[in-house]
Amino acid sequence: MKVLVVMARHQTIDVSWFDGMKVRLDGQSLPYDGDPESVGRVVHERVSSDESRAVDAIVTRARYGGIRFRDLAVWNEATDRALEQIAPEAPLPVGITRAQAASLQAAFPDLPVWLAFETSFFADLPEREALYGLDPVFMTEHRIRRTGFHGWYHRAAVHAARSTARRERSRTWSRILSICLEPRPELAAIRDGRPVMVTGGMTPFEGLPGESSCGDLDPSILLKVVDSGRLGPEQLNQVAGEEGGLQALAGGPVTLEAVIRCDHAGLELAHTVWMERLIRAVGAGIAALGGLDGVVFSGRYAGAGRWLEIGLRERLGQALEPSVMWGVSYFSERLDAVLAEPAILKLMACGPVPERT
Amino acid sequence: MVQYTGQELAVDVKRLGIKKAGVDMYDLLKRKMTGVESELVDFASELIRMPSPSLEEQAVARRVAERMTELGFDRVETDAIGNVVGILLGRSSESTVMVNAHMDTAAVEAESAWTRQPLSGVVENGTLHGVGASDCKGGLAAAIYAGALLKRSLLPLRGNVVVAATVAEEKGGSAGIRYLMEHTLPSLELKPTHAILAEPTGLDLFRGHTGWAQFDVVVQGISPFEVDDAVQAISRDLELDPEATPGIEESRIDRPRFDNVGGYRRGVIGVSRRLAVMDAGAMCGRIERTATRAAHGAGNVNVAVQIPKTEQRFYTRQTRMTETRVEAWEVDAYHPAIERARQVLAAAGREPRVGKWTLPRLGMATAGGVLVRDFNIPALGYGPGIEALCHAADESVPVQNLLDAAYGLAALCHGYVGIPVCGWTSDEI
Amino acid sequence: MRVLVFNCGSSSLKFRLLDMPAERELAGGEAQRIGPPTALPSQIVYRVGDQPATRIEPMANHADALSAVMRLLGETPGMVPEAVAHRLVHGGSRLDTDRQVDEAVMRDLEAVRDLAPIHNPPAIDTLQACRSAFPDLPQVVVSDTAYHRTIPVSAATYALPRFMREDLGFRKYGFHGISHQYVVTQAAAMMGIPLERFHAVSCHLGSGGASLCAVQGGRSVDNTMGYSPLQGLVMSTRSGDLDPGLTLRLLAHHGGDADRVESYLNRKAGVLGLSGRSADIRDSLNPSGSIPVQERAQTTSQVYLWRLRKYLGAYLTVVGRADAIIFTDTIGECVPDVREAVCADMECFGVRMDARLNRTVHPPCDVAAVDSRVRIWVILTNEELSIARSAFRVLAPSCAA
Repeated sequence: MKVLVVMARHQTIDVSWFDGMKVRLDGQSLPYDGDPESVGRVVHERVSSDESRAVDAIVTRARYGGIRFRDLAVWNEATDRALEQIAPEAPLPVGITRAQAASLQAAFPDLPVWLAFETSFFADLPEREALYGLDPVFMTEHRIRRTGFHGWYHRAAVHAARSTARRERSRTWSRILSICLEPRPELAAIRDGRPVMVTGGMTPFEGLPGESSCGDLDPSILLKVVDSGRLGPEQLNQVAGEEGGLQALAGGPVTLEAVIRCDHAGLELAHTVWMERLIRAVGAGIAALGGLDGVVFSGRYAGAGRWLEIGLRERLGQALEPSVMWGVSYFSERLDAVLAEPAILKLMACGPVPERT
Repeated sequence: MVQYTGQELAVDVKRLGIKKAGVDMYDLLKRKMTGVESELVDFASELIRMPSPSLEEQAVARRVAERMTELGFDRVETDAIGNVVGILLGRSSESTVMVNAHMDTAAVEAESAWTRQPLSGVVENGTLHGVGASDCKGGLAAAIYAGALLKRSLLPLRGNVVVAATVAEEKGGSAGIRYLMEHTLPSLELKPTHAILAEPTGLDLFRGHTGWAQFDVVVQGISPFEVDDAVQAISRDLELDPEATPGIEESRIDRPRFDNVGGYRRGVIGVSRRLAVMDAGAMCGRIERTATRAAHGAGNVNVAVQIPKTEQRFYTRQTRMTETRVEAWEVDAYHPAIERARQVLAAAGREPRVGKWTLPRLGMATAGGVLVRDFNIPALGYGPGIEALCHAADESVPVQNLLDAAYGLAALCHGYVGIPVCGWTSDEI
Repeated sequence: MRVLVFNCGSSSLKFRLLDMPAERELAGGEAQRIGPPTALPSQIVYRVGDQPATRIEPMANHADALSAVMRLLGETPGMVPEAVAHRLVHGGSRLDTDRQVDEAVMRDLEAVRDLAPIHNPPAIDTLQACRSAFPDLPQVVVSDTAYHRTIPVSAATYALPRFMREDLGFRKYGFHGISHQYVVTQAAAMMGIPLERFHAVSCHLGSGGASLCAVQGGRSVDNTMGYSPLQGLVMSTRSGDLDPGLTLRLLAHHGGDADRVESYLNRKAGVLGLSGRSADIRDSLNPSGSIPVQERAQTTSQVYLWRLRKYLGAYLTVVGRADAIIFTDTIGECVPDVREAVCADMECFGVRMDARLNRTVHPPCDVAAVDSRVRIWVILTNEELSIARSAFRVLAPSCAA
């Protein structure tokens, strides 16, 4: 069973082949113009016809599937219609997913294209966590619900926690905090493999500040700015999403890793603000879990977790009872392997080519 | 340890050329533009090469309908008088934004003054040349491609987007837009809540213009001498009228025409006036009072003033009686529609000024008067090219203006009827 | 010193006369229905000593109410105030300490008038009227935000561009400071821990607004409310925390009408919005009615308690080795279910509640189990006394001089 994993970013497309469980045959980063409609063509140009014939399915990462998509979904007209239906929940990523999937299918008409949604991990998030303090009828009607956005990393964190617990022959880690260190970082509290709390919200703006996104805000702030007539909602969206976060505190674009390491004075404010937000999120997560067995760092800056671990041990050592023992694990691998695994399992269960209509 | 201040850090990073992490909605629209730039310019050029004086727009209309269909508009309709309507359907019909551009062009009066063929449609030094380049085939092409950008972006729409390519604007007293609003859109169950006129504004936001109307002062009597004296006196006083009457921005008195009707001598004075605020009906009364007073000492003559009605025969062979008048109109500078447009274009990286058309030549106008005054729809202008080049030799439009207009119009339409992309500025999370 | 404390509402004026530093209450009451005439007359409900009474008084504005209260007190010997303390809900960054009123303070008050458009204007107007009528009476202004001036920059800063933080002044202020300060001081005293070494999480759970305060060394280091009282916990009619993208989406939904969205989030959201029936969380904790109504009530209480619990965990972690969790105000004092739900399964933080004590509480009372490292206090708040203490602290040196 071979799958081709396609992860389109805004300037490159990461393409990897997997043969069986987690065995990467090749991995390439292909430059492209960022147009989601180009993804299929660019991938096709790279993948020779022989290679594509040897593949049983294509898996591509999709940002948003709401609660409608709880599992991998094969791309077809019905899927496209369902995505069109949920597009108002997240207009930008859903549109991009539809365009990418259509272009991949057009480029590889004989292969099934599977969509792997980041949000599917959170489809069963408990209502107490998923709902906001608003009228639930209004929330249902307008599909307002917390979803979380780094589902694949958190899923990988669960596996990493299991492996670490096995390797260290410690008791099972049933209560873990998964800290995804990506440009828009996210913390999830996971109990027995299921999320019970996540800092990401209905959109990636909520939660921990990102490299350019604001994180949690008093709602009055946005209302006051709009009311003053200084900025319209679209401009405010850009300010909160592209001009806020760590770069706003550091005075210029900066990576989360640099902020965590904080090896020059210009990053001091960004570092302290972000660390304090993280501490609060960690505390909230522990309260949500009713305890703590392990912390898993993942994402492209997973390595920076080593600095965080020192701080966390110090702070939690004060706040938690001495009897609370918790371990640390890291998931530093690429995400493509995480996406490939369920696809291969599905292929093994369903046969090589699932129905496409 | 290297010490940075925030300021130094920003400069340092800028030098390294690090860009923002992902694409926002406007980046997406721009990227969609990348693939269609030459297609848009070619299409505008093709439209210019097709002659389309008022009431003879059939070739352009056919091509516009074809292109709208090719670009994936959800519905494309041609109405009884030849207007073409392309529709992107939203999730509800509570709101509809209409982008209007006319298909007809002003008559080419002095071809010898042109340095290139008026119908050349050539692109030289980044500029597209030809009759209608600015008024309004450039805007028409941009409007159609704005719809295509929205369609291809897959951004969901709350309301509808209607791109209306209308007939008989230059010589029909806005007959095309009036028919569209009275008959065509209601039959399609569409009711615009906002309108954008893709007429030349140099990509600024225009919110109105003065009006103009043509009046016939008819002097009739038994004695030809008395009629001639009266016509002379009336012409003289009407020449002086603008100085004494506020609201008249420009006036033109034509040489009088004389004939005999049923044993009576008749003189007709053509009067064209640009009106800042007063409407055409009120101006008609004003001219009649001036003319009657002037004719008082000239003998026994009758004086009447009318806005002449002419029968327009559209290319579809339908006919309608129309008056040669355009009402002055304006949308308040602080109207929410203007404010939204400014906000949206600012978010899209544009900084338009808000102004008005000056209409350098009598007879120029837009459909705004009909939309704002007769149908109470907030309208604003946003289009490529500048009005100084309209109705003139060597009309042209910068190609970059065309492309920017398509992008800006798409952003504006999304601002009015799109489902807002709140909480997402990037596909990278 | 007899300190008269004024606490202004939009159409009411609460007052209390306290003998300081003995902290003995001499008189108190409330002027009600201040403003244009209504079907019911405006009146003052009061007690002087132990005698409750009601007096009908026309009071078109807060200045009238102030005069009526002063007249009323002047009628009884020994009740004439020697100082007046005014509560100010939002002191902004200009009034971040308790100050005796002078010209400079008046200028600062004008500058912060619009920061809390419902609460600040009547308080400032009352203060101005008092100053005009009794120019020789020392006055002190005590703000709810002052206690939170010690919140460090790392917790008070929003991750927004500099122009929004500095030019527009967006930062966390925190609220309910007078109440938090009072119960924290009381708890530290009852536990015999010097205030400067006292760490706690104070939970002011009112029937209207609610906030948690993280306290280190007796000082506020964080508050769940932010730039405005809208942020934080789910409250009776306030939404509390909201995804910024959701706020923008609500704005778009209401055609960019920020006032409408603000009104919705402040007055129709929270427990009222979730339950669809009542702004009182007690009605959702003990629901009656049809199954759908009960299910919705269940969801309401779950969302309310969950948010509270998460913040409690967050602040226990911020504080470090907490000595106590303190519950106060209507819900915090009177609803054992709330205390129990948020403290359950928190042994990892050293928190263990004595369920029986929690049910039979007579505040002030510690309801933690014997083996709980963190004590759980239920304390009746007394904002007027807290204000009087602050005023006395400000005025005592000048009196002594």
